[in-house]
Amino acid sequence: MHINHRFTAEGIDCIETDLGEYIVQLAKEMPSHIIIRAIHKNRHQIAELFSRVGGEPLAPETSVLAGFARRKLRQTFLQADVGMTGCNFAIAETGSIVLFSNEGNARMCSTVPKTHIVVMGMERIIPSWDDLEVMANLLPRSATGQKLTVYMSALTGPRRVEEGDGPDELHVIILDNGRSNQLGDEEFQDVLNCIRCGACLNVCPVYRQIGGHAYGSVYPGPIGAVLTPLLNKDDPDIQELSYASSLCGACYEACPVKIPLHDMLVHLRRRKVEQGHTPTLERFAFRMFARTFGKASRYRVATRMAKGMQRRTIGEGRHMGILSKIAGPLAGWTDHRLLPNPEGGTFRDRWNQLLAEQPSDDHGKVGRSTVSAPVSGVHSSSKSSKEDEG
Amino acid sequence: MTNREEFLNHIAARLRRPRVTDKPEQPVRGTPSFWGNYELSSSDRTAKFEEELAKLGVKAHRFSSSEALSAGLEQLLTQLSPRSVVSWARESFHSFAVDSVLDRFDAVAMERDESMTVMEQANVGITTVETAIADTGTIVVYAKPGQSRLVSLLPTVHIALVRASQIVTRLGEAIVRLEQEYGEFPPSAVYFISGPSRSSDIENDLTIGVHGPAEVHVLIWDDVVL
Repeated sequence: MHINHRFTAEGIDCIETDLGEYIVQLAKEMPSHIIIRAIHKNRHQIAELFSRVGGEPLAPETSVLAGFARRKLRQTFLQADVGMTGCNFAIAETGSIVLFSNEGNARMCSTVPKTHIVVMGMERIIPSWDDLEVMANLLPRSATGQKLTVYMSALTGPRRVEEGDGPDELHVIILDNGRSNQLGDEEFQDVLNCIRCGACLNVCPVYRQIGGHAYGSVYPGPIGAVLTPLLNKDDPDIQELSYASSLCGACYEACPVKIPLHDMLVHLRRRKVEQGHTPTLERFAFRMFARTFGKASRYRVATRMAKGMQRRTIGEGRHMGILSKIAGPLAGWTDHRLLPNPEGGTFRDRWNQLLAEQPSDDHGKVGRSTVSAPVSGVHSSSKSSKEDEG
Repeated sequence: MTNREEFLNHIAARLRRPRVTDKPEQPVRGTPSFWGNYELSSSDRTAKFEEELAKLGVKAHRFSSSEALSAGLEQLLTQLSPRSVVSWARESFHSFAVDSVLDRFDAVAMERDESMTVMEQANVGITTVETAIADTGTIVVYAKPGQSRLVSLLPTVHIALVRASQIVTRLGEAIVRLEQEYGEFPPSAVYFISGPSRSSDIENDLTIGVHGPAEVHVLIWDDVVL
């Protein structure tokens, strides 16, 4: 929501209180992980940052740095007029707000200042306290591997008459912000089941290589690649995020609420094409691809032509056997890697030779049944790949 | 800003159905039965509770009588030699005979609008609990008159007094007890506390005592008659 920028513009000091978020705020950066916000910074960088803020040199030890943050933020809590928190779950039957935290900052924000403001996404609501037991078993295990976070606070209204402490006022802001547009959409409604645990980030091969900042959004990783384009449908640049995936499905395997993120990424790519957000060259290339791969005879001609091209440009002993640079639009690809030498022949060329190598006992039986129709073999494999996508 | 009616009408329209005005049916509620059936015997519950507390870095102390617990509390406080002590109101401790110990250490019971400085200065906070959960090593405290929220939050050390009969196996049982007692009007704050405040935000390296207490002691009085 970029609420901090707005507060600053209005002359209101707004201080993040989660240790990781505090670090990120002081460094004027964006979080790079849903749970471990400052995972991109090491101890030494944090020590440097805190030393500058505190005006005293601090050792790059976790306990020293955490101690500094505790002292600094304790003062902040005692002086603050308003505490703001999110909401992990809201219970419909009793109007309760449930907050999970390990450091205790959510408890501080919701107890010490006179006013507590909750900002929650509209999809945080669960029906009853009984259902909280389910979510309390899912969220911490998937997020941090804990059975339960150190603090799970269920708040129902502000402090009551005769109570010693707690906020005098409680305000709850229920935020839609593009979420409701997923309702009734068969392909994407399930994304609203997300409990923001971050398990999909931790297993994603793309996230692990590029890090959270590359996604350019509050929600990185697979969930970010799905959610950010959905919440910003009008921004064609953001739609690119659906390509930040190898479609391996590791996110789906790790997801505690089983959101089919890999399917959604494919749907998003399709919608992007349907909306005409793809460049002309790309559209042309894929039309040719579809035509070529759609018919065996065309495919055969194309592979023969490609082989010929390879022999003329790359192959077979010339240019030291390896072409180090490609020219034209693909040049970037070979800036930092070498193009491998082409193999002797295509799989189709070698098919009959491979069959001959099969031992003639019970393995041969399998070979014979496929021998009659190498072409149908191609057909059946293209069919199964279609099933994977659907 | 969208108003409430617009907001709800929009949701109904997106789902292509009329506005729901009655409480909807809930075909599945709570945990599956295999989990609901998980229940430990009372002695196993206490043992499991202690085991989970140890994993969380909580110091558990077990006593066979309320007198022994009182002596144990006195010993612990002497050891900690705190600058000042805060606690819940004396009546919260009525089932434990610890008033004389609380008095000896000048435990200030947090009353309405007690100055924040008293709270901030205190380095030990003493409370009782509503229930305790064996499966997760969790203590459950409610905010009520006389039961300040800050006592279990601001001081560096939190000491909680637990009767073994308050220990349940699962979180769900603690929730059922809450529902039975309060129905649709739960206390203004219910805190499920599992160990000392912690963070792994710096290089994924665990550190204890970030905003809440750095040390949690649980004193268990074995009041279950076998």
